[in-house]
Amino acid sequence: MDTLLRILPVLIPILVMDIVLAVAAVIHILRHPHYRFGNKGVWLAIAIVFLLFGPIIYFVFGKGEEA
Amino acid sequence: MNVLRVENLSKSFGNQKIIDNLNLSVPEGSVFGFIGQNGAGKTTTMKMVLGLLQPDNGEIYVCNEPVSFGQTKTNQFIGYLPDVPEFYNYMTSMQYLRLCGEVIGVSKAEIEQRGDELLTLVGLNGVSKKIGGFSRGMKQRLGIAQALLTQPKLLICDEPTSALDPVGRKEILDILRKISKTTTVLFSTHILSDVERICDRVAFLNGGKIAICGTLAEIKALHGHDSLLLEFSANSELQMFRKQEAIKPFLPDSEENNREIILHSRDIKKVQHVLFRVFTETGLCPAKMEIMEPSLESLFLEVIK
Amino acid sequence: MSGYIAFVKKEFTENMKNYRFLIMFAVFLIFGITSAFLAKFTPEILSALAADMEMSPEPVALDAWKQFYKNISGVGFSAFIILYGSCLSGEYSKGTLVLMVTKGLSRKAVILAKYTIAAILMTISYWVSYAATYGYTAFLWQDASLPNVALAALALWIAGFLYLSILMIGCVIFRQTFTSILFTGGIVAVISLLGIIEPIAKFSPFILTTKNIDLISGEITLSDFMIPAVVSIVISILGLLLAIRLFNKKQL
Repeated sequence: MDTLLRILPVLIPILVMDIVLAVAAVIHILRHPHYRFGNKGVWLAIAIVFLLFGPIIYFVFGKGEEA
Repeated sequence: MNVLRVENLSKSFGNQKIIDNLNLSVPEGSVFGFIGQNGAGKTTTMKMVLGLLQPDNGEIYVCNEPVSFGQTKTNQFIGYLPDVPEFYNYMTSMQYLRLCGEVIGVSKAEIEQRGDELLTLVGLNGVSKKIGGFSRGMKQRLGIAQALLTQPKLLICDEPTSALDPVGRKEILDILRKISKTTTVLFSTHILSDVERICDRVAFLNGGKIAICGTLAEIKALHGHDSLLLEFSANSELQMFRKQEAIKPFLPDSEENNREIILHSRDIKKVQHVLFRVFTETGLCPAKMEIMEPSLESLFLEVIK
Repeated sequence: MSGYIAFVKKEFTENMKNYRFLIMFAVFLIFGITSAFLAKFTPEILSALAADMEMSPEPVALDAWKQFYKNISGVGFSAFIILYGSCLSGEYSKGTLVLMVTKGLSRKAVILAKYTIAAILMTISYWVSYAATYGYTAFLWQDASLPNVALAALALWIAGFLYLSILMIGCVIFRQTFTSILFTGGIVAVISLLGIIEPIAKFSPFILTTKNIDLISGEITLSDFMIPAVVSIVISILGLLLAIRLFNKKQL
């Protein structure tokens, strides 16, 4: 517990970035319903559940071709 | 002056000779129809003119300057519209024209003004959505606008109407007709009615060569059989007409359909003289008599035989 | 020249709109932050979770930089290559470049503009990541002071341009994203293999990506980096020129 409290302030920037990425990914998933593979539900789950890497994986591999 | 001159051009893909010793000139101010079947080599020829493909042999001159592969100097004279033009989908049409203008090196004020004029010309003014959401016809029209941005001497369109519905086709043809007053237009197609609508010169491409080339009127006069259609009011009259001695020489070359007969001959005047004499002698009177213009279609079929 | 500037602008917009920059920036920044963070707290967290675990030695500031170089030279630049592997294949497959080139945009300008933007975005991402690691390390180990930290980072940054040049060649030659990436991976693998062979090992740019930590810890000196850096820069420039040459003769 002690450790966690000490770590917490250091963690905040990472949390902020995770939220930014997740929000960007979720908005993109909802606005552009075309994916290279998978469907809306799967990508939403990945983007939200997997901290940090979910949104990145979506943008790199899942996003459809249209910009 | 010839805007485009192609001399002894050849190009093979693998063992297949697509273009074989092709010669072609496009005079300034014409609307030039470049006709051929699918796969005849129309696109290949155009890409070589644009320096996008390397010819195996031969020279190409645009406004008397030689074209060299991979270089883009002669392209300043040319506006090019590919068969399926593709743009950057995240831009609007005006943003795309701005990019084009900057690439060409036109001043900002001029881009805005010309962009506005061109979008009005092609009917895309006030369309604010991104190109990604455009229909094929809209992309084709934007394609014309971007091609004209350089104020080219020569506009090359590769099958501009083939992928479009009738409305889209009419729009494109109307635009091409409008701009033909200021720009020489070369367009490839296999839709002959489009050619008849707007072209004044045509060339038929077949077997990698130009089979026929000239003004539309010249070609129609030179080639193809002239035909004459006669329609009688009853089949019995037609049979009586056929029995006449003077008519016999024309019969092997004729087509018959119920009360109609179509006579073919190289010398249609002579046929007419004979007919009128037969009519006076026999008292026969056709319900309809018509000299049929050779259609491009029949010419085309004759050429590719 | 005007074509180059116009295309640089277009490339910049494109990389913003297709999230390439956002993702690259995020990947690099995450590694920048977590490098120091994980180095400091992993032993503590592990021991808190499993009380009977053997205590590893107390982490030091050098461990943070170890993490940084491991992550950035591995995952960071891989992500960079994967993201930029599509920079030409998309344009090839759609045919968007045909209209640009037939408008008089020189092919050289296309490649240079793409290279410029990729290099700028890589540089920003990289040094922000560096700054994050630097800041966190300074915060978590307040008494530590290490030499040559910036110079070690400079070495990997130089290697980044080499990766980019190789990637550009791959993108020009191959029409598909996947093959371009594979090509880049292959060439990088060859360079690493050459880096093992003894007589030429000390000239290999491979050193720029593997020995950074030794420079900070003082095991090797700055002079050992000089020749590899020069070799790397020369190969990068030649690679870029080769990419332009190949692209000049490419049928679009």
